[in-house]
Amino acid sequence: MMQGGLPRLLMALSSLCTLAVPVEIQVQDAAGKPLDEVVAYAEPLSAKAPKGKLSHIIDQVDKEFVPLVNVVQVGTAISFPNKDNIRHNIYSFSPPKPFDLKLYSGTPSSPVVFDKPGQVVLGCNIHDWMVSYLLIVDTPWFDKTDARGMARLGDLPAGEYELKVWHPYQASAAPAQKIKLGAGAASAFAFRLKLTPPPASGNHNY
Amino acid sequence: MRIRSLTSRIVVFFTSLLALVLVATFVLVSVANLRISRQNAAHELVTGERIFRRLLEQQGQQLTQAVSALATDYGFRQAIGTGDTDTIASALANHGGRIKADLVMLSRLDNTIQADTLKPERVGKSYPFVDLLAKAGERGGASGIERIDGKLYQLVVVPIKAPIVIGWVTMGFEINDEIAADLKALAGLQVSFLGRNQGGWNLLASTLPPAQRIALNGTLSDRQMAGRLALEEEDYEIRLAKLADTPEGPIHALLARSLKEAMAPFYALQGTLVVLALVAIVVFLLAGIRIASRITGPLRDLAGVAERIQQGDYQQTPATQDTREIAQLAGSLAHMQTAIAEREAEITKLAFQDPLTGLPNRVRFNQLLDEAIARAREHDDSLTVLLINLDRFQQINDTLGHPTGDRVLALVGERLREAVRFEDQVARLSGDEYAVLLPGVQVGQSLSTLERIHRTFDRRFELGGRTLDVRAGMGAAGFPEHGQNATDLLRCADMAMYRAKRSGEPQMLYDPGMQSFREEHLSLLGDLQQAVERNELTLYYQPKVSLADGRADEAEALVRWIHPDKGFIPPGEFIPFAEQTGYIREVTRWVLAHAIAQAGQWVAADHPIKISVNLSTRDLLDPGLPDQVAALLAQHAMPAQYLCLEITESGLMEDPSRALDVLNRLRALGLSLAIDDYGTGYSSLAYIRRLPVTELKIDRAFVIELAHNDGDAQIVQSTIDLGHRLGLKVVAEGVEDQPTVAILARMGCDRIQGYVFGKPMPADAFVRWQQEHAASPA
Ligand SMILES: [Cu+2]
Repeated sequence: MMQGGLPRLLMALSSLCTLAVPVEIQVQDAAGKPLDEVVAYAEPLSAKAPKGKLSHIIDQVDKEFVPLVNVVQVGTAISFPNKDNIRHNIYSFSPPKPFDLKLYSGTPSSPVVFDKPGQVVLGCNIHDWMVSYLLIVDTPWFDKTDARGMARLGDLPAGEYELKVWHPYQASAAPAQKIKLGAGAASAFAFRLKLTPPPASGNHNY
Repeated sequence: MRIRSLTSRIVVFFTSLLALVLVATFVLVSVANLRISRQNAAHELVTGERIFRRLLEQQGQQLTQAVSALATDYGFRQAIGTGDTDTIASALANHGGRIKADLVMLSRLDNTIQADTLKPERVGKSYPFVDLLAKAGERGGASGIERIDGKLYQLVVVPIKAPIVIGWVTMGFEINDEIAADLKALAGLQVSFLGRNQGGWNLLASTLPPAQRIALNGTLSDRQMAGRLALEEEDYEIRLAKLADTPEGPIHALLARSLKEAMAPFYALQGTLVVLALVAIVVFLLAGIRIASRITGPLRDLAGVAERIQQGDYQQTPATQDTREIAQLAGSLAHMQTAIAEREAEITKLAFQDPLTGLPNRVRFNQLLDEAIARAREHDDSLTVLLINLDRFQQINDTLGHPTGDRVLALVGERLREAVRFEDQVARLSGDEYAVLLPGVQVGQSLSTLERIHRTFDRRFELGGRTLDVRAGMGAAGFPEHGQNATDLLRCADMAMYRAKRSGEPQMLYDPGMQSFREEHLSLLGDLQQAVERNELTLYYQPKVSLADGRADEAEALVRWIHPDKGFIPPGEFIPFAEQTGYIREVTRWVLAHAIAQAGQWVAADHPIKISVNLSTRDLLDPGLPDQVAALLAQHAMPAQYLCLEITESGLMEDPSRALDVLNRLRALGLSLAIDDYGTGYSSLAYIRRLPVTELKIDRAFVIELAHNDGDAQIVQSTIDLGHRLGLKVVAEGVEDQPTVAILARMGCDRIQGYVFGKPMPADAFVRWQQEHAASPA
C-alpha cells in the first residue's frame, strides 16, 4: 500500500529530474538485528522540500490503530476510518496537532490536517490501550523499514540532506547523518537504534 | 475444745469441702483462663497485624484505583496534556478534591515536579518519592506511606496516559487519627503510627485516648517488637509493625490490644463462676442442714431421753426411728434405761442397807434422822436417839472368829428390832455400834425403852452350842433439847454412851455437863504429860500375901496422880484415856523406872520385895521394851527375879505373834510374867499354856461372890487346879474378907491381894505395914 505507492511516486519524480539517487537505509539494533517499522527520512539542506502526497489513512481495526507507526509530510490530511462496529473517540494532546474526534463510526466527514512538524501520539478516549504514533516531517522523502530493516527513500535529487531515523520506542534519538547525494556518491546508509518498548499498557480485551 | 453441734459439724465440714473444691476450681480455671487470655491477646495481635496490613494494602489499592480513574479522566488528561501551568495546577486541585486527596503532585517523565498543591515552591525540583515512582512504573500504579513535614500520608502514584505515559500524578491522603480510628474499627486494635528519625520516635497518629497518647509519647524508645505496655494504668499487649522506610526514617504501626478488653470475657466467666459457686454453697448449706437435721433430730430426741434418764426418769419410751442405726441406738437406750433402773435399785439397797443385819446403815440412818428432825420441828414434836455399843465385841471376833462375830451382830440386830416399837428405826452404824430412833419420844421418857433393850442382853446368846454373854453400853440424846441436827444428836448420844461404858453403867442420858467432862479429858492429856515430866505421879504398893507362909514379900505397884489443882485423880480417869491416846507408853516407862528403882533400893537394903508392874497392850507391842527393862534392872542393880510384869488377855489379842516375841524376850531376862484379870476374856488355859507366863491372877469378879456363888467357886477352883497343873502360880485379886481368904486357902490359891490385907499405899507406908504384918500373928 504505502510502500507500494511511494516508489511509484518517486519514479515519476525521477523522470522529471535527471540526476536522481535512490537512497537505501538499513536500521539495526546494537546486536545487529534488523529493526522494522523504523521511520527513516531525509531533510534537504540545500533546497526547499517539495510537496509530496499529502493524504494518509490510519485505520481502526479490531480496537487497534493500524498502523502503529506513521510518517507523513507537513500538511497531510489524515483520515481515520473506523472499521470496527463500535465507536471510537480519536484524540491527541500532542502539541503539533491537538484534536478530538468525538465518538464516531465509519469515516469522519473531514480528515485531520497536520500542518506542523513534530511527533503526535494518537489515542482513543474510550479504549485506553489504543495508541498510534505519527511523525510529521517537512520532507516528502521518508519510508519505514521492512522486516529486513531496510527502508528506501526513492530517488532524491543530488544535494545535501540530513538523514534521520525515528521510532516511538527509541531510547534516544540516533544521530542524524549529513549526506551529499550526487553521482558517484554513496547511496546506502546504516543506523543503529536502541529500542525500549513501553510496558504493556493493558489488555485491550477489557 | 469447743463443743459444737453435730449439725454444724456436718454442715461446716461438707460446705468447707465444697468451698475448697470450688476455690481450687476457680483458681485453676482463672490461672488457665488468664494464660489463655494473654495468649489470645498476643495471638490477636499477630492476626491483627495481618489484618491491619491487609487493610492498609486494600486502602492503597482502592486509592490507587480511585486515583487511576481520575487520571484517566479525559478532561483531566486534556488539561494536563495541553494546558499551561496554572491550568494544570487547578486541574490537579480540582481532581484531587474529588477524592479528598490532601496533596496532589504532578511529575514529568524526567522526574521533575511540574505541579504541587501542597508545596508549590517545589515545582521544577526533583521528585522525592522515586522508589514509589519506580514501583508505579512497574505496576501501572503504586501506593505507599510517606512522611511529609511531620505528617503521615498514604501516597498513590499513577501514570497519566495520553495515551502513552506523559507524567505521573501523586495523590496523598493524610493518615490521621480519623484514619487510625477506621483501621481500629476494622482491625479491632488500638492503632498508633510511629515515626522514627534522627530525633527519635514520634507519635504521628493514634486511636489512643489523649492521656494515654501523652503517656505513650513519654515512653517511646527503641522498644521491643512485642510485649506488655502500661499506659495510664491500662495494660496493653502490643506489637510493633514496620510499615515503610522513608528517607526520614522508618514508619511503624504500634498495635495494642487492651488487656482489660481482652480479659473482659474472662472476667465475665469469673463472675459467672463466683455466682455459681455461691449458689452451690447456699444450696449445699440448705441441703446439708436439712440432711444433718434428719440425722441429728433423732439424736437430739435420744439425747433428751438420755438426759431424763440421768435425772432419774426410767419410764420413757423413745420415739420410733426410721433410720436403722438410730433405731438400734434407741433400742439400746431403752434397754439401758431398764438396766440402770434395776441396778440403781440394787445400789440404793446396798448404799442404805447393812447387808449383815438387813438394817438401815449409817447413811440411811442419818437420812431418816434428818427427816425425823424435820418432821419433829414442823410438828413441834420431840425425838430421841439411842446409841448402843457392844462390850468387848473385838474379843469375840478375835477368839471365836468372824463368822461367830457376824452371827452375834445379826442376833443383836434382831433383838433390838424386837425390843422397839414398830415406828422406831433400828440401824447398824458400824462394827458393833447400833442406833435407834424413837420418834415422838422425849429423851426423858426413853428410859423404859432403854430398860427393855438392856433386858434383851440378859438373855445369853446361843451360838452353835456355845453360850455367850454379850453386854452393851447405851447412850441417849433428844431433840430438841440436845441438838438441832443429826450430827449433833449422834455426837451427844455417843458421849452419853461413852460415859456409861466408862462408869460401868448400862445406860446414860446425855447431859450438857458431859461436854465439859470430855473437854476436861482433853486438857488432862496435857496435864498428864506435865505430870510425867514433873514427877507428879507417884507409886502405891498393894501387898500380895502368900497363903502358904503369910509373908507379904510381894506387891503390885499402882500408879497414882496427885494433880496440883484437882488433887487425887483415880487411875480409872486417866489410864484408859492414856491407853487411847498412846501416851500409856510414857506412863508405863515412868512406872517401870520408879518401881525398879524402888525395888532396887529395897534389895539394896537387904529387904527385897518382888514388885509387879502392869503392862498395857501398846507396851506389849513395843519391841524396845525388853531392852529398856534390862537397862533399868542393870541401872538399879536389881535382880530380875524381883520383878513381875502383868499383862491382860486382851493385850495379847491385838498382834499375838509380836506380843509373844516381846514376852519371850522379857521372860528370858529372868523376870516373872502374870496374866491379869484372868477369866474375863475368852482365852482357854490351853492357849495360856503356850505363853511364857508364870502366874495367873484371877479376876476380882469371880472372887467377890466366891463365898456365895457356887458357879464362881467352881470356876475359881478349876482355874487354880489347872493353873497349878500348868506349873503356874495362882493369885486372887479383890479379896475383901477373911471367909474368902479361907475358901481360897482351901482351894490351894498361892497368894491373895486385897483390902483384907491392905490397900495400895505409898512406899514408906508399905514398909511400915510390912513390918507390922510380919509382927502380927499369921
Ligand atoms: Cu476507540
